[in-house]
Amino acid sequence: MTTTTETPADLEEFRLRARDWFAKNAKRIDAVGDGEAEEGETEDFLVVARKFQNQLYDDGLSGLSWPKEYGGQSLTMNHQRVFNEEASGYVMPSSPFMVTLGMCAPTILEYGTEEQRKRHIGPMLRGDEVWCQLFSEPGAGSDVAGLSTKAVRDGDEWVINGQKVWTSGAHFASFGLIVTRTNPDVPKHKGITMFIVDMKSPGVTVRPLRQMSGASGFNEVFFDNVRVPAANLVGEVEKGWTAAIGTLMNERVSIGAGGGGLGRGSGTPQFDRIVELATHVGKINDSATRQELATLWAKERTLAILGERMRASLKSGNAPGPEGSIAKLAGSELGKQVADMAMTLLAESGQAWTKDDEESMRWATNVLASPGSAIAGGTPEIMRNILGERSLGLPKEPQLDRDMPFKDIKAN
Amino acid sequence: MSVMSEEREALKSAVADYLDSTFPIDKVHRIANGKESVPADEWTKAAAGLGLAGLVIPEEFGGQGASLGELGAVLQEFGRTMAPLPMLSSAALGTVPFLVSTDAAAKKPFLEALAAGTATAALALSEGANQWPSVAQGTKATKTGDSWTVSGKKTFVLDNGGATFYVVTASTPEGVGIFVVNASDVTREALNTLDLTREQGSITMHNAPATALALNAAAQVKQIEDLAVTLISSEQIGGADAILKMMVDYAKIRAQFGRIIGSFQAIKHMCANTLVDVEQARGAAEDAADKAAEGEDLTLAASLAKVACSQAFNDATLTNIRVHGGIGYTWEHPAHLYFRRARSSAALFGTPEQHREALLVGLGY
Repeated sequence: MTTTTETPADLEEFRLRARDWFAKNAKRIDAVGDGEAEEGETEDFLVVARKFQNQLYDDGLSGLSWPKEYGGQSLTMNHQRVFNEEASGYVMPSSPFMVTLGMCAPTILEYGTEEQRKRHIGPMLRGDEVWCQLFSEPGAGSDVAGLSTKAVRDGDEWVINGQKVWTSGAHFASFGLIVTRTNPDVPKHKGITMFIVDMKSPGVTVRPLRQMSGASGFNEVFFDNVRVPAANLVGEVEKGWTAAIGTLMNERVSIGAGGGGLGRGSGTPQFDRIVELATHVGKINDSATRQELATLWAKERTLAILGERMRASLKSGNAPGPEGSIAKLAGSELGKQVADMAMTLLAESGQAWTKDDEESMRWATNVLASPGSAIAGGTPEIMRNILGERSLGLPKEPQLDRDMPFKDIKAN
Repeated sequence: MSVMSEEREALKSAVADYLDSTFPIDKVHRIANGKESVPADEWTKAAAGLGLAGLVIPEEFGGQGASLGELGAVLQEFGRTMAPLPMLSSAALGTVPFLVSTDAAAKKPFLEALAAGTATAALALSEGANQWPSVAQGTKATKTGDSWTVSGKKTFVLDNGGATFYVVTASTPEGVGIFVVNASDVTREALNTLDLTREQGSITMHNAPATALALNAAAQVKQIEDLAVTLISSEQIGGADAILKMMVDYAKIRAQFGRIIGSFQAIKHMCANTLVDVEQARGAAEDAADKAAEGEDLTLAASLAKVACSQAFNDATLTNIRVHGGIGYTWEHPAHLYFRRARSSAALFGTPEQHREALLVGLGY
């Protein structure tokens, strides 16, 4: 999607522009309290994040490698790299836009109509439109293609009925990308169609779910005779699975490698936090602790390199491959190890703490959130199946439902 | 997933073709068993044909003038095939000190011989196990008039059965120096090796005449060490690649319980885990090689590559034997050649433990 080439002088000029922008518009990580640097999931945080994203866009620094005709800058991946380097050390309130820019926008760019691209991508890059991804259902988790939310054609509209779940950001999203069953008489992968749905439509009900960490980042979403214009079809009727795979691969790149082109702050933020904790509890000179710390740094740094390589590969025109699953697997493994190490370093203080001990409180939240990142975007076991089958070409497990009409499949 | 330049890919692919036809794994196996030997002129032929011996030697000294990034790509192929030629030992490790040295007059005759493939060099840093970064305390260099002599003992020298000359570090009254001594002036003792595909020796020097490449050279020694670590990591990732392919190929043809075993999630997930390790280690190895080519500081990148590649290669070779079952544990199967190579390479030029400690120190902790 990149069209421009660049000279070292261009890049240097761009670097100075980015540096100047960050100095004027962003807060340094070391200048704010720890709590402030955390990215929350509240409405207040959305206001802050949107203001930041608006400014980024208005100053020509959003969607650097995205096509100009849709609101991007048509710059190169080297510009993105320079931008990321300059972003390092600053608070980047980017999490509310991860689904929008990391997953939904690439899907619209690839499978959407010209009208959809012109209508949505600019506002997405500006942070005006937040999107959510409506894929998982209570009966379709690892087996997303087993989804049963129905869409039925009615004149110039489609009528959607069903339920989605684990939908991050549905409570503040203005649009959603939904996959539906439009033909139950063909095998499950073949009867799926994707639409854009306006989340303010009559019949859409969003209910927050509470996670084991106590936070509420995702939701269940109910569709009760929700009417969607036929122009909101993404790709072709009954070809929604192909588009969905594209979205999911982008999601894995985003989750594993951090950020849909928004910059990633410090290069190894998890290591930075855990090494600070090790210092704080007086174990920084303990040799076993040092070996573990170095292992975590090595994992986080290799993951960052992998992310750079995946983005480089994407920008040179390759579609996201199953490699996103590598980043996703490695990322969730890192999260687990950081959580385990934090509990080891904190010892008793990890399980009971005084009311003013904010550090223990924050680690508890982090530890309780770690199982979620492993499951979001597909469990480690599903990732390993994808890598084994698509990257390595190993045969699938015998499947009972693959060629059966969807309506005959046993479901719970 | 590759992000190499087309030019580098083309070189890698030409070297792969040469090695696959000249050193298929059964031939490497026979050579390791002493049933066959490498033709004496093979290295000279490779030097003339593909320019491997002088790959990174500047053109003014008769080499190809390629970058260390290209060398890394070529070493991946040598690691993949385990071809018993002195690519790592001489064209990489033995050559790097001459690139680091700024004494053009001193290095000229050596580089010209290396580039022609008529001589090989070996890098002799270590004076004993468990020392990294290396120390040059037991080896001393003495200047008499304009001439230097070196005395002492070096070991764990990768020399492919003996080099024409050895590059050694030695202490002088003005700090560590880098010297070249001729093989004819040292006593070499071959070591028993876990890795059957390349030889190691220890060398003893008694007032051996030496050419000084660099004096007061602590910074250059550090640079040579970082490059050595980077280059052996490139070779390791090539070996890990070969093993991933070996296990996946077998999982696709072996049937048990009426199914191809690769369709069982237990086996599939072992292969997938290996892929995850290998792809991450590849990123670390190529990042270090790119930084080496650009002349950037390698302190963190080299140690990261060694940690990641050692772990990926070691684990892959064990998983590969498990995927194969009993057949993978036999002498006849090549799996053990890689298992041995992986453990040998992990221990050389700093163990993963030493590199992890180096990482934390390098990060300022």
